[in-house]
Amino acid sequence: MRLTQAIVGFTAITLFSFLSPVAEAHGPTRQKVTEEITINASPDAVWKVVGDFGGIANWHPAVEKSETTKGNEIGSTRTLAIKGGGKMVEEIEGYDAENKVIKIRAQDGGAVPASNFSMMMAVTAEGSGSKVTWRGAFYRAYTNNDPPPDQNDEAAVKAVTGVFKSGLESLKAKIEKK
Amino acid sequence: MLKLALTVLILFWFCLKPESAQAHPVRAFVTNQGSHDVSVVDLDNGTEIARISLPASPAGVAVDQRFGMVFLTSPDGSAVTKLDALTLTVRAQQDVGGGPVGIAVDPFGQRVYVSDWYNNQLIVLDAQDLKVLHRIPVGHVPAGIVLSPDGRQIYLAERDDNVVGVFSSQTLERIGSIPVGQHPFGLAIDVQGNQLVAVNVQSNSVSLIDIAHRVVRGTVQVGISPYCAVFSKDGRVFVTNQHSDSVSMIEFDSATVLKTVPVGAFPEGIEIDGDQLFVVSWMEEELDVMDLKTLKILRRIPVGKNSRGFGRFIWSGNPVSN
Repeated sequence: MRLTQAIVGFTAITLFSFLSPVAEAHGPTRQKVTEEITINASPDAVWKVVGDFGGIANWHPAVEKSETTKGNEIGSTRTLAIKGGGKMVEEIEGYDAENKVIKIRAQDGGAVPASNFSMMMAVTAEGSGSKVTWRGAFYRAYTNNDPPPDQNDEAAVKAVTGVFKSGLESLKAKIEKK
Repeated sequence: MLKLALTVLILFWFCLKPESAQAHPVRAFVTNQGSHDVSVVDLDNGTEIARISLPASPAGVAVDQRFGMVFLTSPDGSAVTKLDALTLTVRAQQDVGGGPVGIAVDPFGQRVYVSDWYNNQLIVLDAQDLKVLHRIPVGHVPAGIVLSPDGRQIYLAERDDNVVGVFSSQTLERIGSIPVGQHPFGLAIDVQGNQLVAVNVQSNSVSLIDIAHRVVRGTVQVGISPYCAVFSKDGRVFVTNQHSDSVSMIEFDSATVLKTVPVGAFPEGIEIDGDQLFVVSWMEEELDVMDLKTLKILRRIPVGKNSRGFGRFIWSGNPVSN
């Protein structure tokens, strides 16, 4: 019995010591987050809000203030003051009013612990209302091996998910209240 | 006499095509970085027939057409895997350390070249058992690798140096450095081995390289964050644009974009077989099959999570196929 335990213990230790360096040698792998919400309003009405690049402070609960350089033009940037401190600088990469799609790239080093962060928001018809899809592709903030816990893959996914979810819920509430 | 014997031996070598002696299925091997496996897609009927587990976050892929072997890198698992394209069994697996990303196999099926993203080296492996033969120091953050059709030259995207490094496969020494755009990632070479392209992710462009003179003949602006490229047999280049969700078709000689077409979001790996173009969409997790003439999507085949297909991922059995 003891011997069996000892063997099991030894095997576990051996396995663990063999596996752990491999498990820790995680390099940056691109992550993605997709969040959706249905809104009881026409796609045109929803796009009016979503497609207004500088208007995010009107509906996102985490954004205090937003200023754009060139409105909804491609290349226009917005500087977001985040409630409780920090900022994000984001740029329009693509803008398709006909299909109601906006593509945005965030500069590195912002309030969200992610790097090379690009996202897109799209409005589509859903039943008698609309669906808003918000999805992002990004790497974690720490791009070398062995990231600290607040800058690893999980932290980045958690933060982006929070930004998208809270934003979409608030967007829905704002539009449906009108 | 010795020379004659050698010639006969080489001729015999080139005639040796164990797998293509019989008709075999044409298959795509799409690496899925999120589900840690490779999707095997039967391209005759357009369905995924198997998904094979691999060490963490597989990305790079290369196919030895002659012997029907697929070589795959796992950057997070620090491993290279050799898979039998017909029986789908793992033939060898090697822990190489660091972050193996780009991969290429020589035309004779003898050696495999792997770029180690973290340790700035080119790793040379024996294609038979994946034993590490050499480690060559290279530039910063090496990514895509292609070989000349005769296997003599190795071209390597040295991403953070904004250079394509040229190495001799015989001496394993650097024989050239070609400055390109910002952050070259994917590379592609034409069938004749005269033309090379480097896809510059940060400058949203493609560098068109004249191989004989090792100079950039032209630079073409494409979509946003372009990633990988492939040559068609008639000298056109197809480039995936990750952030534009599109593919740009370029004419090499005139250095112009002929057409840009929409594909599945975040397109990455791109391949040609016969009259079809294949594009891996990372966001949609699908393999888009397109008509090479019309550039219309014929079908979208679902694959695994966060699909990449970085490299040559189709086993057609044709040694000179792109």
